[in-house]
Amino acid sequence: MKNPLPANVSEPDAVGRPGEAELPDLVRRFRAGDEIAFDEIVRSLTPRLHALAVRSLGSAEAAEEVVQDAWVRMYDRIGDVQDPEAFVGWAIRVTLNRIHEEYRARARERNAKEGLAGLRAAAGSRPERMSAAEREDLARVLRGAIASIDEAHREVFVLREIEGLPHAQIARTLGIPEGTVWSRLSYARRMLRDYLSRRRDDVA
Amino acid sequence: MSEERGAVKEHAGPDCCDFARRISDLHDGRWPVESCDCAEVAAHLAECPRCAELRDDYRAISRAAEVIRDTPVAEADCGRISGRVRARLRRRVFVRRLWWTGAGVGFAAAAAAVLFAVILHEGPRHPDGGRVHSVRAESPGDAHTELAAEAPAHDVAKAAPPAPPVPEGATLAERVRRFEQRPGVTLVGEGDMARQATETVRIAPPAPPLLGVLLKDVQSGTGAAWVTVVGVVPASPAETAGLRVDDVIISINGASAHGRGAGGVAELIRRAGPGVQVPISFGRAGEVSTVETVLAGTFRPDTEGPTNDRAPAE
Repeated sequence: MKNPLPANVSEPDAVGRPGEAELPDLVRRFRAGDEIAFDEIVRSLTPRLHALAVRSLGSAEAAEEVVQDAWVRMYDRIGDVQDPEAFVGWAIRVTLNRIHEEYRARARERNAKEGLAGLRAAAGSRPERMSAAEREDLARVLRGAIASIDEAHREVFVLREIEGLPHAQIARTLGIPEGTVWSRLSYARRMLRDYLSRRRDDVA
Repeated sequence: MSEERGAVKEHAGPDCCDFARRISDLHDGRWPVESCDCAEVAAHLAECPRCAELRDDYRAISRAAEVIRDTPVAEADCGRISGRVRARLRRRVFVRRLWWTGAGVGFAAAAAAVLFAVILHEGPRHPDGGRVHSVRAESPGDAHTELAAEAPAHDVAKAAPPAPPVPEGATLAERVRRFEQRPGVTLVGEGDMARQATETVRIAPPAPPLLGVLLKDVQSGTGAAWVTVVGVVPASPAETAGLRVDDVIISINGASAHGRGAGGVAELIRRAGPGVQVPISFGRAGEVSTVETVLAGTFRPDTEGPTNDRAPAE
């Protein structure tokens, strides 16, 4: 049920998919009333947002729903984007917000077993040597922590540690100075650690 | 940025606050290993277990992030998702357009109705320039002119024959007749208008039970037929109730006025009978209001009956 369609279904879409460099232009065209431009925007950026959602949620089904919702939201609020050059950062922000709404809603139903202790134990072993269950546990603990921090710090942390972008590119994507990227990362790590240690205390 | 640094301090606790940020930077590979900042942080880490723990926790967090980053993503889903987003947006755009089209048609109809009301309202001007309901004040030489509701037996003059030319100094009766012959006007009047000798004209607005309004059909662009007020008799129940020229009659006594035409609405009022409290809904400037009106019960049927052959007796 994970992927009811054959894998090659996406291929026609991948052909001629516009790159991110074309996005500002497409945004301008869409704002000028060209509806087709939005389709192009969706095709261009969906792989990235989808990957972000799958990684953040750990579920392809939930990710699909979330990405669709995020696009509908972006369609409605594209007027909020002041500068078409900043569209990607904005799109990531909208998607992350939707992801974390979803995550928080689902997290309430679960009981995260361990916080920092689990993370520390896992830090000793290489990810490739962990079992699937261990990896899922570890990922889930951090996802819960990421969902708990505020938007400005979350997006910087996700771009850095989940997407693995260089600092300069994060600064460009979000339209903030590079120094701010560094300081927000520091603060984000700090908050994640505090959140995780509180979790551990709760359990102990 | 300064507020963030302040916040970091707070989180870092009383000691080592200067290092928390630098430990994060070092962890993230900010400095080449030989830089002095790097060396200073490394020295501090060697002697401060709290900061060493912080660094280890940052490493653990990054390790977990790495696990998340390695989550397999099916590229194949992307095409399908794009397609579904397109479909969802198309649906929304369609529904939205439908809504706007509906609203547009509604607005156009309303605008058309207003336009018609204005056109028709402009139509029945007294030749001297006064509006119908001010005939009394302006008709020359009329000792006694009255616009009033009248008995059912003497009303309904529709589809009048072609208007004769109105001579200079025409009597009010002739003027009223001329007015009456304008297309689209349903003037419910009594035959006295032809009796020039008395100079008394009694025009019965649609309702024999004395509401005291002149009504006119209005066709909107979509063919909806409404009735609008083009004249209000002074001191009549209509005036007391606050009805004004240009009001659109929506319902009388709970019965919709839509599509009935001026004659039909007059009939509704007539049916209610005199002395009865009747709710009247009317539209004005986009608002619908309802007034309770006691129809006048004091009308006095004219025993002479109509002398004008255009107004057949009932």
